[in-house]
Amino acid sequence: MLRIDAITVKYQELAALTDVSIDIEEGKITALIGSNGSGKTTLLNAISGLKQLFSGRIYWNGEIISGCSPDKIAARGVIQVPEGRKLFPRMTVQENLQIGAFLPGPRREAEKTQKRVFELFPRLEERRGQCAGSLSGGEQQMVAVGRALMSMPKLLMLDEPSLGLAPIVTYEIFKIVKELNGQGLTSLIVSQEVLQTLSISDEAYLLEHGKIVMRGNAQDMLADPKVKESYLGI
Amino acid sequence: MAHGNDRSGFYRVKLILVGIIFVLGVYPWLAPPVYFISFAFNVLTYITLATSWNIIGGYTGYLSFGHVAFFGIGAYATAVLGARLDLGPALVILASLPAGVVSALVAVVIGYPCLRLRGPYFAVITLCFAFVTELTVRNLDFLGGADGLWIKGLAMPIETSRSIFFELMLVLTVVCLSSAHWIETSRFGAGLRAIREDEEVAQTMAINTPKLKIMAFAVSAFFPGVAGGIYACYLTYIHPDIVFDVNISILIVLMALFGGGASWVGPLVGATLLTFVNEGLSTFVKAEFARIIYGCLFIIVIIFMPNGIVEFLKNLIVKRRLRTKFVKNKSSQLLS
Repeated sequence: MLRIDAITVKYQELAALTDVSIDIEEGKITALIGSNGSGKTTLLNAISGLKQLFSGRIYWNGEIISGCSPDKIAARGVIQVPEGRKLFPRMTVQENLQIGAFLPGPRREAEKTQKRVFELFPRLEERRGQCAGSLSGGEQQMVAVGRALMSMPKLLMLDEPSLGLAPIVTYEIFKIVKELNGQGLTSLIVSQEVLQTLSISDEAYLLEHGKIVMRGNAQDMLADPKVKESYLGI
Repeated sequence: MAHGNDRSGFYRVKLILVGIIFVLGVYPWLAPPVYFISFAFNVLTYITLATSWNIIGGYTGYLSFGHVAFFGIGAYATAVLGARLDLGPALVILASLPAGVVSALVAVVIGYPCLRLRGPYFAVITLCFAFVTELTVRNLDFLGGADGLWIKGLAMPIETSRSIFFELMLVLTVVCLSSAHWIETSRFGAGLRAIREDEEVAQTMAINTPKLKIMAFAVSAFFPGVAGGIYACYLTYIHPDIVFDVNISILIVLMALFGGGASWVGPLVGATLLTFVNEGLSTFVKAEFARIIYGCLFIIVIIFMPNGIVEFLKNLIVKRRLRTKFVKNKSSQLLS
C-alpha cells in the first residue's frame, strides 16, 4: 500500500534518516518503534510531505507521492495524527472535526462519519461545543484521532498517541486503533510505548539513529532478547 | 425549545439589520447638511475597507499593511478606464466594478509569492508593496504622474451627487459585509481559520492552503478596489497622496483589530467607532491632542481588550448572565 524506498532525510548536513525502507501492507497495523531522536517523527513528516527527502522515493499504491505537497498527499487518504495532537485550540470540538472533513468527498459523508466518531468516543459528543484547548490531554487525543477519521483515511498514521497520557487513556486509545483495524483501517503507529504498540501491531520496524535495525513480525520482536533488554527493560 | 428561541432571535437580528440599512438608505434624502452625507460616506468607506481587510488579516491571520494599494489601484483603474473608453460621468461609476477585478488580479499576482511569508515578514512586504505601487503610479505619465487625474463629475447639485455616491457605497458595504458573513459560515472560512490557527496542520488535513490564501487575498482586495473606484468618482480628482496614503493602510488594520478580527461585526463596530472618534476629536480638540488621545485609546483597547471591543462586550454579557443565573439558583435554593 505504502512503500518507502531507501529514503534519506537531512536537516542541513545532519542525516536524520539514512536509507530507510518500509513496506506498509493494507489492512495491517505497522509499528515503528525507537527511542527519542531516532527519527520516527521525521519519517512521518516525510511521508506526509512536510519534510522534503534528500534521496529515495515514497510510493502510494504504486504511484510516487514524494515531492507532492502535504495537502495532495492527505487528499489521497494518508492522514497523520501529529505528535502533541496539534488541535485548533480556539475552535470547538465540533469545528475541529469538521475541518477534518474538508474535501468534498469526506464532506459528503461528514454526518455519518461524525456519528461513528461519537460512537467511538462518546465523551466527545458531550464536549462538542467546548473549545478543544479546554479539554484534558486524553480527550484532546480523542479529538485528534476523530479529526483524522473525519477525512476518511486509508492510512492512519499516529505519532506518539500515548504522549503525556494516563496509562488507562493510552490503553483506551490503542484499543480503539485495534478496533478500527478490525474494520479494515490500515495504520502506522510511531511510539516509544513499545510494549503496548507491539502487542496490537502486525508488523514492526525498529529505528535507531535514523536507520532500520530490525524488522519483522511484531510478536516476534516483542520476544526478541535485544528488544526486551533495550526497550522493555526486562 | 432552545432551538426555536435561537431561530426567532436570528430573525429578529435580521429584521433589525434590514431596518438599519433602510434607515441609512433613506437618510440622505431627508436633506441633511452635505457635511453629514460626506461624513456618513466616509464611515461606510472605512467599514468596507476594514471588513475586506479582515478576510485576510482577521480570518486568515495574515496582516496586510498595504491594503491601501488595492484602494488606490481601484481608483486609478476606474479613472483610466473612464478616460480611455470615454465614458460619461454616470458610466464611469460602473467602471469601478472592473477596477475591483483589477485589484483582485493584482492581489493574486502579489499574493502568489508573498503569501509564502508569514507573520511580520508578510506585514513588511505588503507595506513595501504599497510604497512601490504608489511610486510607480507617481512616475507614470499616463496615470497623471504627480499631477493626479481628473474624473468627470455628475452634472447636478452637490447634495444630489453626494447622496448618489452615498447610496452606492452603502450597497457596496452591505455586499461586503454579507460576503464576510458568508465566508465566516462557509467551508472556505473554516479553512481560513484553520490556516490562522496552524497552517501546517491545516495542510495535513488536506487543505490546499496556498490556494485558499490567494483566494482570500483576492476577495479581500476586490472590495477595496471597488470602493476606490467609487471614491475616485466621488472626489472627481485623484492623486497618489490621497488614494495611496499609508495612513489609510494602518488605519484599517487598527479599525479591524479595535473591533475584533474574529467576526464581521468587529471591523464594522471598529470602523464606525473610530471614524466617529477621529472626526469628533479633530473637530473639537486641537489636532496635536487629538492624535495623543487617539493613540491612548488604542493602547487601552490593546491592553484590556486584546480580542477587540466586540469580544470584550460579548464576554461581559455572558458573565452577567451567568451571574444572574447563579444568584437566581442560590436564592431559589435558600427559599425552598
